[in-house]
Amino acid sequence: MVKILKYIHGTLSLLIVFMLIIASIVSPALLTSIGYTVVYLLYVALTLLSAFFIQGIRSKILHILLALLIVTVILVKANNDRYPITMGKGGKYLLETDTETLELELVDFSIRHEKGSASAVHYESKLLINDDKPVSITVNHPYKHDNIRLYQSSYRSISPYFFYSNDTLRLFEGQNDKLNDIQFHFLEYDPFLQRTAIKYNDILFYFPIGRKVTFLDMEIMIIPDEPEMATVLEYVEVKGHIYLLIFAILTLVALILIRIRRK
Amino acid sequence: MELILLLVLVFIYLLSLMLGFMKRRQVSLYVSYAGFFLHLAILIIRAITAKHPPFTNVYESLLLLSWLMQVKFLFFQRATSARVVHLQRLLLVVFISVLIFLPPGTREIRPVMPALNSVWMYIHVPSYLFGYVSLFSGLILAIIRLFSRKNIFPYDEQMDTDISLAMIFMSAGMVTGAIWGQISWGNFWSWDPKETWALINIILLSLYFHKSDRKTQSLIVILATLSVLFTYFGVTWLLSGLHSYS
Repeated sequence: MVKILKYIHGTLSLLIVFMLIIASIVSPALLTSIGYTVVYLLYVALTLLSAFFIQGIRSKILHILLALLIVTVILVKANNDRYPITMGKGGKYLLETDTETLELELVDFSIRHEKGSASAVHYESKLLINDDKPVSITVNHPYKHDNIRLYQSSYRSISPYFFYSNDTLRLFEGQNDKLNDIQFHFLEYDPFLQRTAIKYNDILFYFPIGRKVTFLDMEIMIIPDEPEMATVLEYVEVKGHIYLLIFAILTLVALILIRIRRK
Repeated sequence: MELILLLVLVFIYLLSLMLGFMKRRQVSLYVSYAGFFLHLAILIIRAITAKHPPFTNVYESLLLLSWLMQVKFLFFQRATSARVVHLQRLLLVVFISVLIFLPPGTREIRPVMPALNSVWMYIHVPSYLFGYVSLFSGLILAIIRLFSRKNIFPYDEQMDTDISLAMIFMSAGMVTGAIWGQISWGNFWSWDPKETWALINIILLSLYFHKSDRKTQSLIVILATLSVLFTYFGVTWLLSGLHSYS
């Protein structure tokens, strides 16, 4: 039996290696596709099965831990929401999670460049969260609040747009805010069709640029402003990462223990 | 300046290789020691001028990797077989030559990118370096094993130890990398090309422990080394991703 399992292990490992090589060249999207996940799960099943047949308690534990680790990785990866938030200076963003609502406002964004080059050495976003004390987010130093994490992801040049009505609002793509007490989400500007996509009550509307339009009994005109440097933050809701950490470390320890014994 | 020092270094390593071939064991060992100290000096100069530890890009990490190999060969694993010693020295000559022929831009001193500015860099990168050192020293034994006709081979146990250490350090590098990724990107695993290839390396290496035939094991080590080399150079320059700086 062990011989057969070893044979299957060899074949499956080489198959996975081949699949990973293909995906790393063609498209990383393949790696999380259903077909690939099925093969990972086959590998898990094989690992669990071999845990029953191989000799030695440490080897058994290592195989079981490894199987648990792979399953946790797949589950955690499938259950973690993440998306980018782009904000220019003074920009606001309403972050709604399952449990609470956070109001973000970018107070300042600064970049320090390397002398005589375009690459950044340091960049930092200063945010007001729910009008509380300003927090600073840099690379490697995210904002943490319960399961919510805000990471400094990158930066890019974007154009803000003026929304003129009774109020005036200056919004960046991807931002949401209130205009005349109506909450709406400015999704993006389509340069090809020269129109803006706006979401209101989960319904998508398209507004042209530079022309007055009537919307919910109010007149709106949208005009682009000069482009400026905006911060790109990444919103992540962390779920189950602690189990992953525990399994990873336990697997590593089991691996080390096995090697010591063999010596 | 750095290039001149590297040329001197490759000359010294070449000299120790030649002297070894001429069966002047003691002299070649002294020359090897001289190379070791010059190599260390180059590393220190680099670290002082760049103001950061010498493993933040391909050039620096290769320089450190080859020095760590020399440390292992000279102090931890003094081989008695002439063939092993020759191959060890040849490997060092190859590494330093690669350093000399790298595009000049890679030797430039640049400030550390924001993403690398973390304490985890001091754990994640050295873990992999130790893993690679063990793998390369295992590779030498694997090559000799593959072409030896004898059934009993004095270095079998050494090869097992080397590959086990490689497996442990590379797994440790992977786990610490995942923790670092979780801290700085909120993602322990991003399926970035370098990560995918690190997984390929681990899967290939794990095959070693599932086979009992020595020739097959040697082949696996060679295969794993090729894949590590691709992870090192190929992924860095061909497939771009989060790790494109390393």
